[in-house]
Amino acid sequence: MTRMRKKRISYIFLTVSLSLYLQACGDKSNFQVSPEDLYDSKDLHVITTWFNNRHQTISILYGNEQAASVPANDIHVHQVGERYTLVTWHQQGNPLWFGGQITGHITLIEQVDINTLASGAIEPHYNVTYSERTDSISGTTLERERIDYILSRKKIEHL
Amino acid sequence: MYNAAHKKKVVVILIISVVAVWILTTLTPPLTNPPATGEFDGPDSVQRILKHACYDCHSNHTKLEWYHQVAPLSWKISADVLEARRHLNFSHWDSLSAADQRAKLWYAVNMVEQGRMPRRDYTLLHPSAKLSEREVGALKNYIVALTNTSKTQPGKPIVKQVSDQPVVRESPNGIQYFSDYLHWKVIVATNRFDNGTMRVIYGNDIAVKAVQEGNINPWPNGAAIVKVVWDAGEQDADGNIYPGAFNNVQFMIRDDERFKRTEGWGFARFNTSHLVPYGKNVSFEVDCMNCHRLASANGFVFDIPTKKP
Ligand code: HEC
Ligand code: HEC
Repeated sequence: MTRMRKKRISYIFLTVSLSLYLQACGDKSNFQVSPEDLYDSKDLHVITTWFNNRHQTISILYGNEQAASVPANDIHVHQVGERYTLVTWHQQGNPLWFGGQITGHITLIEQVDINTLASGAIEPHYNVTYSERTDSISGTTLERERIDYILSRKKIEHL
Repeated sequence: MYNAAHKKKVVVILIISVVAVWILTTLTPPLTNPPATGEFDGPDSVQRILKHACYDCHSNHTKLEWYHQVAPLSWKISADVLEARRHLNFSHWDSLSAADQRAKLWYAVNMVEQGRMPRRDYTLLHPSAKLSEREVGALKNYIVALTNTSKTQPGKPIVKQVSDQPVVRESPNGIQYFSDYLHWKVIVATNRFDNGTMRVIYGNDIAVKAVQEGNINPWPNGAAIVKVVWDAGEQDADGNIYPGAFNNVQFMIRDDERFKRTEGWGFARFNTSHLVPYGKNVSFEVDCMNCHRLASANGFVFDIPTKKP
């Protein structure tokens, strides 16, 4: 009787430890969900995206309705009211797929608004709304460069 | 205790079972090794690893011990090997295009890295088939090098807009193409050096909320995820790589009743700017799901923002 029970217990023990072992082997989730890296674009739309392996970054250029409705192949004169938001993430390997790169944490958010000056002229205004670095873009030439870069992106082909 | 009559009974039962097993075994058609048409021809070091750990199931060089050929174990082994060969057969390697061969190898490396292949029921009996970290590293180096030497031309951007065409596109499982995702939020953006593409992954409000609340095991019904894929296009002087041609769009739609067969996710894919539905018949979604099991930790979704602790 007791021998039987002992046998059964050791059998159960074996099964349980085997399944624990197998489970431990299968569980490779050495990462956690980070909702703060999902950019809340509110009602902005995607204009285009690009990535850079030298800087290990992935960027998405968003625009408000007005900015995003500019056709891809149009030589475009920017209009008052357009807003462009460029979000840049750090690029990291996808923990679940060797061969894939994915957005990690947000490193920089830049914004360009097309405003009117008191004179009536149109002028793009640039500002950094978030940066993880303190020494980020400043100085008028750099700003000018960023504005030109952002405003000359072509809209992506979407269906 | 044991008398002669008892002994006789035991002997008779034994004989009957041996005969039964023998009959079952001889009635079962044996698993054969049909001739190979074109073998996998990677470097020796890679061949050695695959032959040792994978060829019993994924080639026409299956080696069987005598006890593998005894019913009912033989039934299970036959079924497994035939299924494994159907999915991936290194002895019919020539039947795949170069791009499909690379895709299979990337799949294989990821299966191995996550410990899903060789299968556990196999490694229990063949512990040496489990790959060491060095062997996994060798496979990775091989596939990365192979992919780098076969870089194709960057795709030309197409400027055609087809969204205005009133077309209905339906996947074999009944999921229809829709373009609502253009108004959804982006969950993540990705790019793949295994196949030279870049992607934006959109989520509807339910999916975005699920990520924000970490409520993804399982994902709530009604969640929908859309992945838009472009070929990686031109690179500028600063190293920025922009989208080239539109490649395809893929859907995952959560409904644990309707899509019970595939863990509650409905899959659909529409290829090229003509949005040609993917899959000959409804069973295509099983192949989608099989690979997405690699992301079971995230409710079968690969692309969500994560942090390494
Ligand atoms: C005991 C048999 C067995 C062994 C050994 C085995 N596999 Fe598999 N493999 C299967 C079966 C069965 C399937 C199909 C069903 C599934 O996905 O589980 C499969 C599926 C796969 C797939 C998916 C292919 C596709 O396109 O659907 C890959 C990749 C794979 N195996 C790679 C490997 C590699 C690499 C090894 C060796 C390191 C290996 N397998 C060893 C049985 C095996
Ligand atoms: C060989 C493995 C594999 C197969 C087969 C596969 N996928 Fe995926 N899928 C991935 C990987 C890896 C990612 C994440 C990386 C990326 O961005 O491409 C992904 C991402 C996705 C996403 C974005 C959500 C997510 O899970 O990250 C969708 C939608 C998707 N796949 C749909 C499909 C559909 C539809 C099919 C079948 C027609 C399919 N997949 C077949 C590997 C696979």
